[in-house]
Amino acid sequence: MKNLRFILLLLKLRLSHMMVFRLSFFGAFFADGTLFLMQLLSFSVIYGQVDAIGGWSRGQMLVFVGTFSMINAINMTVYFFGLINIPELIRGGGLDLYITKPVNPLFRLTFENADPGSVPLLCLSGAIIAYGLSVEGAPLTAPLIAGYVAFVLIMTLLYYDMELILRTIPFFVISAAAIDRLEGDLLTLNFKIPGIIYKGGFKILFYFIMPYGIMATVPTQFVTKTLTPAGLVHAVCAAALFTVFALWFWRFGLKHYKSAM
Amino acid sequence: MRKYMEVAKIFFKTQIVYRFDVSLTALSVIWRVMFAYIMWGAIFDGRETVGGFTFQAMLSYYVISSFLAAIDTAGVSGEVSARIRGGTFAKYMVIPTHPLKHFLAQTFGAAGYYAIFSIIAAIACALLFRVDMMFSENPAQIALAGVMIIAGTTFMVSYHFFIGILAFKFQDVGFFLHLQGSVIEFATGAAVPLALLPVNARAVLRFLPFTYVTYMPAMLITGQAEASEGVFGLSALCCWAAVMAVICCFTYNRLRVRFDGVGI
Repeated sequence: MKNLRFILLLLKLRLSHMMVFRLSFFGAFFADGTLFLMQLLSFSVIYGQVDAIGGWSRGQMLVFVGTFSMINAINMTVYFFGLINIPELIRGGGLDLYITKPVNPLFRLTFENADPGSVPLLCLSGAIIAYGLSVEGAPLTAPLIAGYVAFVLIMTLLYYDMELILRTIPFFVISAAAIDRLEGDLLTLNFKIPGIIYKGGFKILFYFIMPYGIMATVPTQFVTKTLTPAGLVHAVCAAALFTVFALWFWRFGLKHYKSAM
Repeated sequence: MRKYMEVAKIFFKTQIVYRFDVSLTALSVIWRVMFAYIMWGAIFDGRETVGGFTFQAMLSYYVISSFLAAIDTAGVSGEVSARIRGGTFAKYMVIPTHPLKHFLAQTFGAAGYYAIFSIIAAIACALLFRVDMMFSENPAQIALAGVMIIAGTTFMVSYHFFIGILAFKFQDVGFFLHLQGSVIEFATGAAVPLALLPVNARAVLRFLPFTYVTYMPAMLITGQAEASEGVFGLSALCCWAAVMAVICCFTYNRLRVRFDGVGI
């Protein structure tokens, strides 16, 4: 309850800050919305030439793009703008203000820059997924929808873990520019390529070491009933392991924090 | 002209300091080709051609277009807007150069340095992914592509300069910057070759400048477009570049009086 009140207070502060830059209020929505619409357009162009990509039909690909968009939308709405500040706070000593407050620093960092302007992106993503499912003609049942939602949330947690791990590295290095760029490149690559297409070394890299490849692929496979039991276990285990590691790595990094004081 | 040559030279040399940025730009070329290799490898699975492209022609297109897409013109809008907001745009008002020409010169200077490493990255990609590179045997096509790359870069710098100077009027131009990024990536053919689009869409894009920034030069270099198309494209691009330059000068002269900068 105390945490909920705290989140609401942070949201209120954030809203009043965002209203100063009214034109940019929906900036994230328009930026990511156009990104995913262009991605849909690209796949439409490709599916104008072929029937399937890596065994996936047009409907499955639409669900894949919508799912990635949904995971990204939750990320943008809830924690992205908070976590992205971590490297700068480490470098400038601003983390002192978080450590000395009677709130878990990671909790505050996660929720303090929630972005209500990205909420429409959730609706857009939902519309893409619904359209994809109608194109696919997949029969939907309540357990299937519940399982899909659960997988989207699990993969959002995995996305959070990856962001946290990459932004904890600046505790040990000086420049964080490379991390942002690397993450951007990996995300761009993985929201354009469904995980099922990866083979050999790429599969090991994007399924086990940096599991961006499973984030939108697994929920899509689940809702279109192509997910194998091994794939299901792998996805859940990956999310659990990366969460444990991310939290440990954050605490480990915090111990190495060189305060401004 | 000489002073702009000097600006270009200075920016060519100063890139040596940003070794890390240079290496990341080269890496972005490799990412793009890697994407093409994986994605189009799956699409071509069991197929000889897709949309008139063979797999090798498609990879050749991506190697060239990735190299062209690595020419960073988008940074101009970010730098101009940040300098206007921070008050340091005053520098461009007091030195005897026109800001647009200054940014053109600095972009060409920096691009020259980046190009060396992007070419190395493109060659490395071609070797790594075993791309049997296709090049046009017609020197006119190569020459046209070369001129088109210069005209295209000029247009894109003017375009981004225009977005940047909107910061004179709006507090934050991040909205414009975000909105147009992925649209331009698609319209320039950096995402997928525009030849795969329906005929009607191609007919419309034919009259827009973005087609001739990445797509057409890459198609000309790989010998997949006729020289006559290149001539039409170059004419259209030059017209757009001239119009954009006029719009930039007009807007800059109108809006610069709103500037509250350092030392002004």
